[in-house]
Amino acid sequence: MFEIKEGPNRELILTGRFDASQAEKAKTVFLGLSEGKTVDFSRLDYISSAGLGVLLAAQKRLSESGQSLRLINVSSHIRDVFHYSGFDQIFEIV
Amino acid sequence: MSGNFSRDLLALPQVFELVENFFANAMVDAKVRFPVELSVEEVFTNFVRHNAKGADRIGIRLRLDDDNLSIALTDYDAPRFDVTTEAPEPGIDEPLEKRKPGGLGLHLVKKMMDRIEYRHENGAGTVLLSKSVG
Repeated sequence: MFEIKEGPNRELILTGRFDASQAEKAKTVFLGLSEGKTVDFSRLDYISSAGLGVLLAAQKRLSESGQSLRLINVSSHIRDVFHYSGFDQIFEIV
Repeated sequence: MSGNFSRDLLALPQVFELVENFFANAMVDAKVRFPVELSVEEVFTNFVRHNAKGADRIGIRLRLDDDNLSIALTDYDAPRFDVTTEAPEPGIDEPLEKRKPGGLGLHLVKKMMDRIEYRHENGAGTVLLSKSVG
């Protein structure tokens, strides 16, 4: 199960498992963003390189207009994945 | 514990079910589950994406021998592609504008597993992963 919902402060809340079978669905949301967003990872259990690829594409696209994704409540095992990927250098992780 | 799966990303829930059943039966620290799930997904999706027209199903076997967890993923109808040497480097130190997603999955597998090997025999490609769980 994987869901993307908008929270009360217009943040994106990711829930469940962001694997390769969910990447196309997520792309439609992330590549449709027209402004920077906070993305809440507190309910995200799992992410693989397919999910990272979607986030990377969104970050690249937003950076063209000087905007970005900001990630909050990232669990330690997902933080490890961001570190191994070098994504901790290209995303603001709070 | 083993299973054979359709060459399709939509088979991932069944793949994860195999991993879940393995961890339900094996006495392994739950912290190992995430790197195992991720590594199995990355190799499985690599087979699906890079050999979409392969004829047979993809086999996955997990086993625990003392403190050594080993995983074998076999594409039974695959051209030779040594994932240990032929996968592109993901350029993890590159700035955002130069980053590309390619190669990231196998890079993560190499980081999370202790050992990765590749064999190609009789038209079948097998990726062997192992990790100490002691």
